[in-house]
Amino acid sequence: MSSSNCKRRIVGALAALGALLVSVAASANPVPWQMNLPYGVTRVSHQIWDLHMAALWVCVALGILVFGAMFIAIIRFRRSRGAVAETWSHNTVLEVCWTVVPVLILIGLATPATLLTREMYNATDSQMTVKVTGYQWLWRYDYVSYDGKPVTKVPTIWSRLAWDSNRARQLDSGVSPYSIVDQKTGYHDYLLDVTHPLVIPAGVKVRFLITADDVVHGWWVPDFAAKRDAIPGIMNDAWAKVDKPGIYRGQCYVLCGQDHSAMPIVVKVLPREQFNAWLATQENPARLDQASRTADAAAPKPLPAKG
Amino acid sequence: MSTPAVEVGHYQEHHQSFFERWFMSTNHKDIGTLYLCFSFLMLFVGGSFAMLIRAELFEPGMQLMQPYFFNELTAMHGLVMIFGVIMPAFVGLANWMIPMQIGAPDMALPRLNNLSFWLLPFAFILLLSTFFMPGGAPAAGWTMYPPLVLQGGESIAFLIFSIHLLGISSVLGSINIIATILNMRAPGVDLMKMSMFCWSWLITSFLVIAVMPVLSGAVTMVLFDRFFGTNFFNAAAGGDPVMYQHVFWFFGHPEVYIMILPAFGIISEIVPTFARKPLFGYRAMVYAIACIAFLSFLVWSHHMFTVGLPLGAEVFFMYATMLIAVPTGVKIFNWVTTMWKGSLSFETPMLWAIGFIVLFSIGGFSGVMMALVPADFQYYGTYFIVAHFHYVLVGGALFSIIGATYYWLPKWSGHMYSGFWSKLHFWSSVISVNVLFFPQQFLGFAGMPRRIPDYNVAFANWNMVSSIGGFWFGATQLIFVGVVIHCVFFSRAKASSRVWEHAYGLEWTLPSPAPHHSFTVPPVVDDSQLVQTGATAH
Amino acid sequence: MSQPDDGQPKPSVDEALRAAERRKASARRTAWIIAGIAIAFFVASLVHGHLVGISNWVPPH
Repeated sequence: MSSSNCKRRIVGALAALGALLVSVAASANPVPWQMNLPYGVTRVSHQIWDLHMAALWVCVALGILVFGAMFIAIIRFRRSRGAVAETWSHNTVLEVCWTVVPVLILIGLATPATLLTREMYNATDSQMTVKVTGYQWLWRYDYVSYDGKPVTKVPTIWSRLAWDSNRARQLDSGVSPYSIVDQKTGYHDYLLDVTHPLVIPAGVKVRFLITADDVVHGWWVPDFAAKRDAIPGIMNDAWAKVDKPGIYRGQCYVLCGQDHSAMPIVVKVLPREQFNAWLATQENPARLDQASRTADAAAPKPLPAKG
Repeated sequence: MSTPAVEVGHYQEHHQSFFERWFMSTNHKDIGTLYLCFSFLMLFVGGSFAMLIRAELFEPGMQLMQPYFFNELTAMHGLVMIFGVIMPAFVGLANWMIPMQIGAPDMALPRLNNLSFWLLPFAFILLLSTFFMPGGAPAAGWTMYPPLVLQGGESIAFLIFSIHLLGISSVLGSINIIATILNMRAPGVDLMKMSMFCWSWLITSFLVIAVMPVLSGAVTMVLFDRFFGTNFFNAAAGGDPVMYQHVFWFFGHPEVYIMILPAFGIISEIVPTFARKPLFGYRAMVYAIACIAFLSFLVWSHHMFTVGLPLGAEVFFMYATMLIAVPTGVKIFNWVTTMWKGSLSFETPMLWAIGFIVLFSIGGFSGVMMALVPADFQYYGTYFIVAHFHYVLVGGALFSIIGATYYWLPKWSGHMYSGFWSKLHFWSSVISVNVLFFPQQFLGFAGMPRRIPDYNVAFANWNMVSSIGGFWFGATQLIFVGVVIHCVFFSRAKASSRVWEHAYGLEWTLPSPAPHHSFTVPPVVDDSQLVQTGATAH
Repeated sequence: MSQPDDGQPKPSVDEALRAAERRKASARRTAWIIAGIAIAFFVASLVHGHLVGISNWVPPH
């Protein structure tokens, strides 16, 4: 194979790979054969996606340069083709170049990354605060404030793995993970569905105060690019302003014991009016009282008999 | 040749019994062999854990084991592979090669050498015995984060004691290497004429000295929290779980370079040999290693970007981390330029070296991506991280160890190995390792967390591909066993003393197999025998 | 060839022995210094843990 033919093939393959990367980028929840980060539904997640793609293409370009040079050397300077080795081992210009140019490339990547990090750390002006607490192995959500007012009458949301998933995930359950399907959307939500999702309004900057009760957990919704470790004794914060209503799923990402794979995060984003209406129905002192007395408000209904 | 000087240092060759030779040995070659055999054995122990992990991950749903046992496997896989395979293999290579490359009769402290090896088997017996204890093996990951690790059973004590032993073992080994390189060089082997492998190990040893005690400190605090009622990491009593992560990663990041710098040394030996051209930029290579080692102390928090560090810390650790890409890039460019306008041939060690350069670069590229704080928020804790460190540890460290074995095995055993089978081993490994780890990058991007035994069906396809690659890669390593056993015990092809026609360095002036004692008197060193640094190239 | 016979003057027995002894002693010195550094790092990590712990320490009741 001639070297130019070889190069064309490599470039062709990379272009095809690139097209595939871009085409699957727009999905919200994980889909089969997904190859890239989700584009997400917040400004921050879009910017991260752009930064990620920029870094990826820089790496691809450098890869083509380095591997290309190496493969040309492998093809042209083979002893079996009669190549005679030269003896030089220094070239100051070249060495300065490949020290300085990477520095410039890195500055090019670090600058937007720094600005974006600053934005991600800026949780000021949030209109809503939700406290997120990780437990082995469920999440607890408490509404702290909304629209400048404390939220006192809304009961805690205990958010644990949905019971159908929980049944299917047992060793030798005989239930196929493929049979676990969200009734409304048809999405295969095995291990990505909870009993009670967190509900937040669209178009509102929500601040999440993240902590844990027992061991370190991690709260992450990829589509929001909101992510922090949930650590006992420490209150971390993250924020998201979601414009597009929908259901967004994530998982605990810090090893937290045997059911680490079974504490998903589901956030339901409602249009603002619908959210306000929903919140009003939740403001129920009787339910609040009951919920505070029985921590497992999400207690299981008896499982249907197996078979 | 019977000059008085030859008689002086000449140890009496007396017949040793099997027990004397292999259990009481103070000979650097025998101890090197013990290290290498031990790490070979552990490769298959850790590998079998990996096979079980990939088997469970073959499909969504739990088929083979309880989730807690899966966590035991992931934790032990990491500990065994890091402390039982990669580090002992590099120490074994150092034992074999450093005295031969600097013209010394043996390591500086031979009895210490024996001790540092024999701590290892006992440490691993302790560690692996935890599988049979009530409560099971440690299951909090190889990073052993409290508070989770404190929930473990009595096995935590065994885990920590074995880590102390491993720490002592590697610190003693490094003391020996530093003392040997600084004091035992033959006249004429100046530091700046030393082989790159010796240089990389000299610098690595200082990393070991600085960070292994810090790991010991971190796990000692865990031990006290678990058994003696202290509250270093107990938030309820004012302790700080994040402090553990800081202390651990102050060890953990230099540890990463402990596992890759000797690999850089090996590749810098192999590439010039088969390119028939001096290493490009010898001095730059030495400075690059030193620079990477120094920077490795300033970047630990990039393992903790999401724990809630202050903004200033995030930015500082991002810049420091990105800076490491520069000397690392220099090394890769220098290897490629060494090949440029050389006269290349592709014997087995060269294939592994080229495989190393490609796979390590892929791992390095993903490293640059995750150095970017905002991007790392989307990568942290996912399979993208798993793919990254397996590219650098399997495609990097392990490939270099296998390459080094194929490079020096004829010198050790005096026999050539099968070219066909060793090349088949390479091609099968290099393809399967990509089938194994490349899809894990996609899984990470799609949001699959690491350390989970079960996953949503959306992740099923790439996991199945990855598992197939895993079984394939695992099975391929059996070829390695066959090639090595055949070479050592059955091969009839004698190796010449130089073995490779353009191999430079004092080890190639000794006969093959290398005599039991290397240079009983310091050789009279002629620069043309040393690794060509460019300074001596014509 | 470990010992090229190139006509250079050979060191005497005593001299070679003494050189080997010197190297051994020097290696031992290096080893102790490095061991000291390692121990210092171990102690430093514990002191660090102790100090960070002490600053927010709450007596258990």
